[in-house]
Amino acid sequence: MNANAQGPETAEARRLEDDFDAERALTTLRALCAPVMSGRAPGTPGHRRATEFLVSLLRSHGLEPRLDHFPIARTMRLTAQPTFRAEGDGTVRELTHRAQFAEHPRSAPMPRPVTGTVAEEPGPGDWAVVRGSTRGEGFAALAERFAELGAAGILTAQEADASGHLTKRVQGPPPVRLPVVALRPDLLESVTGSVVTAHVPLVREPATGANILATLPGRDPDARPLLVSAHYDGVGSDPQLHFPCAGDNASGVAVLCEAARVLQAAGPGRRPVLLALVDAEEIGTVGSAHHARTLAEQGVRPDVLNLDMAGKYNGQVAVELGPGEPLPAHLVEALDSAGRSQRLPLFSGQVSSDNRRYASAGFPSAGIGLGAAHYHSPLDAPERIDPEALGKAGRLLLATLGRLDDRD
Amino acid sequence: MSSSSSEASEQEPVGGFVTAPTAAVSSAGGCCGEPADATGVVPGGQSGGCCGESVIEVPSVPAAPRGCCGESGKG
Repeated sequence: MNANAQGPETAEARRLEDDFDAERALTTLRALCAPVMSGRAPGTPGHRRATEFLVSLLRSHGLEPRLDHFPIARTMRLTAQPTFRAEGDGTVRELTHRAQFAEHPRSAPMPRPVTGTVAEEPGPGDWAVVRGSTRGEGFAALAERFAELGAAGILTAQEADASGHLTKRVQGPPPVRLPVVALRPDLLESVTGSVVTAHVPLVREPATGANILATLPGRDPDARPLLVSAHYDGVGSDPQLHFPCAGDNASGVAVLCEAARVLQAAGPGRRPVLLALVDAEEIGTVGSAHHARTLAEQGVRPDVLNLDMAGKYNGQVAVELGPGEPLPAHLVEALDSAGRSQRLPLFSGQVSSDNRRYASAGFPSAGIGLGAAHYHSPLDAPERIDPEALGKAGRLLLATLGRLDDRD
Repeated sequence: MSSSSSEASEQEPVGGFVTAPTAAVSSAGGCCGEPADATGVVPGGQSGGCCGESVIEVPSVPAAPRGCCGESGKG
């Protein structure tokens, strides 16, 4: 970027940034990650507690949050602890859920344990084996062929992450006709020929989502608003294992709430600021899709900054801009200038999050991600959150807002 | 003195975009059981086309071909 990309460093922008309190953000994050929140999966009591907590927090900052409900066609959750037992060669092995096997998002319902022999060429009542990279339509076609052969179910591979967990997956295309269980690849090999009894009670249910929205009015009623967003839902806890969902995305929500406190205390800027703590990102960015559609119907076309994962700083900040045409040059300039002022390198990286819904609606959008440790794992916990990362994210966000407030 | 100035310049933190803002996105991002490095760190964002089952369109940049969800696919 050339020097012309640097915007004016206003006194207001500097003051806003300086007022960001990372410790406050960390306190918010810890509350969102408490076991009582149960990983904040939509449709669960823990999620409702998180919603109530955030509404209360924003009210304590002087905002007037409101809930915008929307339907969610399908959520996935485990109704009981999954089990997996393999018998062969005179031995019996009980595998550990999440470390050695996991639910598969395309599985048919499995209300009862399923027993069968694991076979390369499955016959009636056998477990079929799917190795390698088959997925999408290819997986569906393969599953259909196995169903026609009378297979009892499908065992397929899922790599463990570096900490030894099979990451949690809560969205995907419609289920296939057979039960599907994911296994660590080495175990998939070793159980072939064994008699396997598995029970992975994954259910799909509709739910009602709730976006938490608040507005900080601007001095210029005709100015286009700024929208800052972050998703507050999580992938949810397992029946016997808590998922705090700290980096993804209690971190982004905590930063936004603290930024909202700073903005509210500072008084109105020129442009209105819309705050959106959106729901159901993990199951297909459903909340932001609803929000983007609502804004478009109202004729509102904000500049969007979406923050997803601010719990760990890896030396640079990922930014995904959208839509591609026209390029949101004003966002580029504001982010570049803010990044320079905060000494934060920015790079063009994928931020596959709610920013894409807003960009798809035609809103100039930037997805911002600092990083997180242990994605969709029970290890994504507050003790692995770097408060410095929260501070960097908050200051970058406020510095960018300050620069965007100067232009429209 | 000049070398000192040079060192100071080199050590000065860099901020702002260090790539073209809309450069082709690297495939280094972790997702769905594919952390980007051995420590399990995901460097910002989940990466597009996650789980091979993404329901999200990518409006600005194409998703890089890659395996996902622990499936060692070619994309």
